[in-house]
Amino acid sequence: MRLESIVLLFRLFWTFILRRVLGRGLLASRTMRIAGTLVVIIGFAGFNVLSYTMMRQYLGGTDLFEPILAIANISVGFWVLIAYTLIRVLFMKADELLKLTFNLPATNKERTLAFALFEASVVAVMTVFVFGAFSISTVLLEGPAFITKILVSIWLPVASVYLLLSLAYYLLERGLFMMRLARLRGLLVPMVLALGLSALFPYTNEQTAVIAESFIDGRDYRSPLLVYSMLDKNVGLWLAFLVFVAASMAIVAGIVAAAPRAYVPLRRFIILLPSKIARWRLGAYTLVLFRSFETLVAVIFVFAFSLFAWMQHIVLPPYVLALITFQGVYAYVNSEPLRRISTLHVSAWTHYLSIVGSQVILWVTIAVPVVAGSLAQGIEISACLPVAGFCLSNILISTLIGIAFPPEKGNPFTVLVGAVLAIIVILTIALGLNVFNLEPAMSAVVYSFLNILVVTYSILGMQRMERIRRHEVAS
Amino acid sequence: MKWLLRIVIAFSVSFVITMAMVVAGFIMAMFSTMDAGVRKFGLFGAIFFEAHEQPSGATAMEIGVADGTPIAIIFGIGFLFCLAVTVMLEKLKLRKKQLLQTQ
Repeated sequence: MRLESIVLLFRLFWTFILRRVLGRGLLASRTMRIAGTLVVIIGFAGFNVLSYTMMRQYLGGTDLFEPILAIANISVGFWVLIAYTLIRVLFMKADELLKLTFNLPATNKERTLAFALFEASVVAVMTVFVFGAFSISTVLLEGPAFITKILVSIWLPVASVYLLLSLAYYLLERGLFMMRLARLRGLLVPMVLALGLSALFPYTNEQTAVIAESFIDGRDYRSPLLVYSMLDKNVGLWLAFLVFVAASMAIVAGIVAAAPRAYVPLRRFIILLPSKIARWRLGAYTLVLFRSFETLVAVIFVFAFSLFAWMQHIVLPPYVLALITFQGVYAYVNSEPLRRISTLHVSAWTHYLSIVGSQVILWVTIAVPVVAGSLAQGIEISACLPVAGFCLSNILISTLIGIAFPPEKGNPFTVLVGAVLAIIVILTIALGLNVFNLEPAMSAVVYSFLNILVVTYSILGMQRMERIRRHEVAS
Repeated sequence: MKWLLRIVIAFSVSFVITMAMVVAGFIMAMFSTMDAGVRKFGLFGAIFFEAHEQPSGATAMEIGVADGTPIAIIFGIGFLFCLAVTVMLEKLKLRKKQLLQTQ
């Protein structure tokens, strides 16, 4: 194993991302690139100000920061596992990105490790964005002494848990290789991760209650998960840091050893529904959606969560259905071959309606049993209606993200950039409309109008990309 | 059709900018007061923010729009600005193309 080829491959991935992400879709124009950067910077600043105000309002002048940090530290495992599941699913989809390196003189192990490094760097960028606001506002409120506290109770545990999860993933992959199930890892790995989540959720809840109790009683709370903050408190920051470095080195060595030597391609499709329906355009789009492997994973997640909620007696409106609607991000790119083979010119409208229509068909198919389960749990049907509105609008928005930021070769970076930009804009609009205190009927009208705008932009974007492809206009 | 497209784009960009300003004004109004029972205005008097002390001791927030005119003016200015920028940008692009062709 040569280190330089790992670094070289890692740089290749980033070059691909930077050139492809900054050269396709909406980001192709320089104006949009500058606007996007501005939106991200302003959004991050706004996020900071918001979190600062919120925390000052609720926690300023109280000594609640310590137990909150302890709770954050305990729940790090849970949150990182959720994020890791998402990242894993996104990067499994990016299998084609790995294929770019197949004509380069590198071993499979180097390839895997370079990909792992690339993944870690993407995750680091995203974590800074998400956790940064919380950290900055805590430090602003409580002074620089809190920098070390945040470091030992959030950042170091997050890094360690992430590394541990990566090690576990490679071990799992090895196990699957041995059992000759590696082709199905797109399905099995998310299921194992979901199992981990369902095991960790009750534990995190219970420990949170224990921390709150021991804070009220004035007792000291101890847990092996708080190892870094306990070392910092009892001995000093240097030891916590030393332990962190030693642990990281050990885990990284483990990852290097566990990274599989062979490459097995992922299974991408599953044969569902008869092929006959491909005679209609909508049928063909529906087949693309139903037969893709990610749909199966998302559907299994939805059912697993519904079952889990049923068993744990968590009574919630079926918001879990929104999980399927995020598929829309890939809807445009996945169905690209269909638009290439159509011999006659069909308007972008028709294609767009088919893309959205197939997703609505999938959603309704899954929603019927899940909503029936929720109704059986005693949730009113009126509580389920907003969920339907939310999911439909989510389908439209995620389809727009997929058109504006087409995730080529399934690269996860585009998806994440698009999602971050979309979340900033949607949050701004939602918060702004909140200030107006609109009547429910009026806000329904406003939101429907915004959805019409989303549809318009999607169709315009599809038309423009089609014209660029035919070299009618410059990109 | 071209003008419709320009208007739609200018409308949505200006809408997002207005909403961002409303949120910023609201946060600033919230920042500037911590006392209960004081009504604070933000964004040129368009938004008000008031914190009440409830009998139970908790603080309730009340936010809302006091005067819609400044928001409408901001929206109008943003709209015209975006429209002007798009038109200028397209003219400049056309000019560049012409210059390149005459070369």
